[in-house]
Amino acid sequence: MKNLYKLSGLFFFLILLLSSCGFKDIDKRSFVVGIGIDQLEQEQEGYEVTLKMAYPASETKELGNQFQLISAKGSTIAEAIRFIKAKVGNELDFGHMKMIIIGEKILTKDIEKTMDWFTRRRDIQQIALLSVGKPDAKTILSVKPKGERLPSNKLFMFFDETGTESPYVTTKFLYEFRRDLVERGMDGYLPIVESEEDNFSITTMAVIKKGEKPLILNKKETKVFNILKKSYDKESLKVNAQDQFFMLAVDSLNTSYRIKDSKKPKIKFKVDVEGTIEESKVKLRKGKLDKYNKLTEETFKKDIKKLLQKFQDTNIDPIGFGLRYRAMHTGPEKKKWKNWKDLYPEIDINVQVNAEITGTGIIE
Amino acid sequence: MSRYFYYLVILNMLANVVALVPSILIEGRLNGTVSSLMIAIVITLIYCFVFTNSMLKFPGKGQPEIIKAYMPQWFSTVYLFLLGVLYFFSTWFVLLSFIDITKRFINPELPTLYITILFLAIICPGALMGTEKTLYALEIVLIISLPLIIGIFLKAYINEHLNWDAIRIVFTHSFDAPSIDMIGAASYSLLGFYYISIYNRVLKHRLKRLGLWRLVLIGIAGVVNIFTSLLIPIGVNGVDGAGHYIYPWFSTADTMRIEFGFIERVLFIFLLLYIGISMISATITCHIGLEHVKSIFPEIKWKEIKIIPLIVVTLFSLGSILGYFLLSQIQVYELAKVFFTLLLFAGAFSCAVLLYVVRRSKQK
Repeated sequence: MKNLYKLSGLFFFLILLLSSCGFKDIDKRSFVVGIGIDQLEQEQEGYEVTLKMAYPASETKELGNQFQLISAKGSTIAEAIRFIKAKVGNELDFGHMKMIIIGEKILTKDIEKTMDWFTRRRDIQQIALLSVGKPDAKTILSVKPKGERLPSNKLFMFFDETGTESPYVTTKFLYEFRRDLVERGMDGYLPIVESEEDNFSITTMAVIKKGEKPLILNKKETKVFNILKKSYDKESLKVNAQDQFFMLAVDSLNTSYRIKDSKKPKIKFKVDVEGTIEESKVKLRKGKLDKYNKLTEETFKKDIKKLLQKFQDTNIDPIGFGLRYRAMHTGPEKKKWKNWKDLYPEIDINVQVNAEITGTGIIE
Repeated sequence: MSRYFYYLVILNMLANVVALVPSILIEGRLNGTVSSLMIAIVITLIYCFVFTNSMLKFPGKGQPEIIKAYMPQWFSTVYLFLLGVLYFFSTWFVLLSFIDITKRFINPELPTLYITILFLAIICPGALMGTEKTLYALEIVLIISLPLIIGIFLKAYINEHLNWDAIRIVFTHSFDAPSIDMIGAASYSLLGFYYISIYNRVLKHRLKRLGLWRLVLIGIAGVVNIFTSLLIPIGVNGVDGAGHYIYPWFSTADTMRIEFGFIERVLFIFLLLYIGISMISATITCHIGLEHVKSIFPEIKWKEIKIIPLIVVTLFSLGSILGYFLLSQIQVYELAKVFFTLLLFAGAFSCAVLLYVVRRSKQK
């Protein structure tokens, strides 16, 4: 009996050894940290794929500059990657790829087709960060910011909220973007990254709907959008009206919306904001806080309404009103979706802002 | 009250949360899943109450002994053999889906045959162990993995990118007509109490009677478990997008991240935990199947080794290896649906048989 166990143990151990061909040593791998997808200029079909590869090193000094950019052209992403494989001696490892940059021009193409490769591959993280590169992805990947510990680390820090937290930066993970592309009633959006010599600048964003031209939001709209979508509260609001000019540092911010389904359907968007005054160009009076509240509410309400109406006019819905509508009604999904598509361009949008200024800072 | 009984029930819940059951449930997410789930839970709890309490009337005895003592010979032979085959089938489904998952997510270059043999090398010796020893193995695996799995489930719920509107859409279809496929699949995850048919041998005097309150507790755990397994993938991947994934739960695990954990991608932790859970679940079902089949054959010894279990296990191994090569993924999926539905009726039958046996034992 004992012999039998030993024999079988040996047998299975030998089998384990046989499987070693699946693994390759670390020094024979190049770790892809970022990928850029650009459109080819001459032809209509096809992509130019750029990979940013980091090399494993023994010391942990500043390694931000130690990378290699290799690009190749192909009719599909997979084909371009095959060409890149022929240019690198090492095995490509996508397991650490956290940054996907899509060239601005790709957005006008059928974006779903482009994204297919990313969701199908098992070794690509679904938590990779997505963004749009302006003017193209290759430029963004080739930026060498100062003080970067690992290649592409600066970009990760922008988006995953472990580093900077800016009201202009929108974060989108790969799985979320894919979800939004497929979901009826919610459209996707991506931050736009621009390069400024040795640095990045992320202040705008693009709202993307399958099969349609993307809607590019400017700085102010991006900021308002982040407030609406994420209830982003590390924020300051500029109030400039009636010979008053002050900045409000937001302490807490809550947004919620409801779709009222009465005879005349309307979207009720409610924003509660609380904060202190951070900077003012005119002298402020303590007794006049009520007035300042009102001014804030008015300014803010105008901005929000403008943005929501812009979405409505272009028939784009990144907030997810359509999804909420579907969640509120029973019946077959097709019918609900059709109803919503008819309803959205005409629905009333009602914005309500409650501002509460708790103080004027440590001076009056 | 013995904790081992709960271990068995919990094991079956966890083991079926990831592979085939959620795929079947998610496929019908817009066609009365919720009503099917509720029906499934009620039916299974009735089975659980009847079956467990009938078994507990015979302390220290397994189902084969009971059936053999009170039923005619031809019936017990056929009945026990069929039951054994059913248990082997459920082992086979766990094994098949995990081979496929290993190939897809861990190492696609590893030949299928090696993976199969590797897994069988763990499952088969495990199943040949004594009944009590398999319980101890189960306890070790559960103590290690249960807290982490619960942690991952909780993390999924508090994920800010979880889309609750998508989840609510599933509930707008609560009152759609249920389907038998989904009832079968949902009830399958609650069938852990059947394991008592063999484990009753070692649970003697530890477990007296399954009271109503304990049944309710099991029911609550089952409801939470099955709804988690259905709703989280929908919330993460979207109500329209969730159906695109072959293994929804592994794709969902890949969307979770622990920024400051040792491993950022939860997928790998999840895979590791589920290899453990699946292996022990396969071992235990294989052990039960083996005990059932063994009981209908006379004991044959060759050099003091009981030969029947070895033959049965070898046949099962060969069958699983052949099964993987003969059936495609889609055929397995369809087969699983039929199997789960069949179990619904098999459950009613085996409860009836046991009730009859209890009556006869009282008459004697």
